[in-house]
Amino acid sequence: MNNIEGKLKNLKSIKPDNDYSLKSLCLIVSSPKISPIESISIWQKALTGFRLSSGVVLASALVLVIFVSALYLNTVISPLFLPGLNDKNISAEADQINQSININLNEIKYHQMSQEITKSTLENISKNNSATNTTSTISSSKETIDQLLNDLVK
Amino acid sequence: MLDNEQNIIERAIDGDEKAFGLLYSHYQPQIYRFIYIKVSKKEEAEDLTHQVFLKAWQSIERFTYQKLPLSSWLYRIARNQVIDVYRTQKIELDIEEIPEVASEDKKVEDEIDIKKEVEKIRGAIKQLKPEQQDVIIMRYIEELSPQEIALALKKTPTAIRIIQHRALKSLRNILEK
Repeated sequence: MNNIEGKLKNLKSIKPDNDYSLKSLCLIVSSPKISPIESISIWQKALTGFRLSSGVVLASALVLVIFVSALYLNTVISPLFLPGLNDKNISAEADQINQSININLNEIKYHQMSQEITKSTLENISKNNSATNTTSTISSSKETIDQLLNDLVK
Repeated sequence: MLDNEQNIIERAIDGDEKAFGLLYSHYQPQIYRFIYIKVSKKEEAEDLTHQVFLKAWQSIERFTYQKLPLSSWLYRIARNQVIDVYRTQKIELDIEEIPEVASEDKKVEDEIDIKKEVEKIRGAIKQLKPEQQDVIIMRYIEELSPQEIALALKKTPTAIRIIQHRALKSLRNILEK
């Protein structure tokens, strides 16, 4: 094992070319830095703050939208809010039907009564009329006879 | 780690080119080695090393936000650079290529032997898993502590020790073949 470790240490003799190293360093330090530390720290802080606040705002907006849409859907879709299944609406509708039935029954009763009254009245009238008519016919016939007799006498 | 490194880093953050030059001179060879062992070609290692330090120069102020040694931060950048290269193109294993070896004081024969040995080990390391390669290079070539390696690879020191143990075992098997 130690032999291997010794052999591995030989690899430390691998070194980069000096000319290459100098050129590389010159190129590196002459290249502009992408972002100086001051601007990075300020921008990072600003960006982090923006991300945090915008995240909170977006999350709360999302919760609000979900809440409102849930309420809306509940009123639109929920069977509790369908007019055909609403207790108050059903009882009101039943009352309305009851009233119309009552009105019809009253009308029928009224018509029956008025029919009976009319019938009885007509009977009475016809009875009365026939009596008066006979007497009047008799009296009128008597008068005509009397008149005829008077005419004859004259 | 450099003497008074924190001060040098702060000066580099303020745009002091000389301060960054000091950091570059200290860390560039080890980052170059790390990349060179993992990729096939010298030119590719040079390009990637340049990219690593360009990124470091352009975003060194971000380093202060991360509580880790500069070496670990640079290794992270280097590792990501190599991973990006592996993603975009398949790197071919080129065992024949002889790397640059600094051995001016040695004889030519010794120099050739060392180059061959270095290339053999490099070829063996490249057969390991990428994670094992990272640990072997950082631990045995650059002599980083397990804590530093853990920070660079975003792992625990215990995990690093386990990877190190397995990597050494695999490396020995490869070299004994």
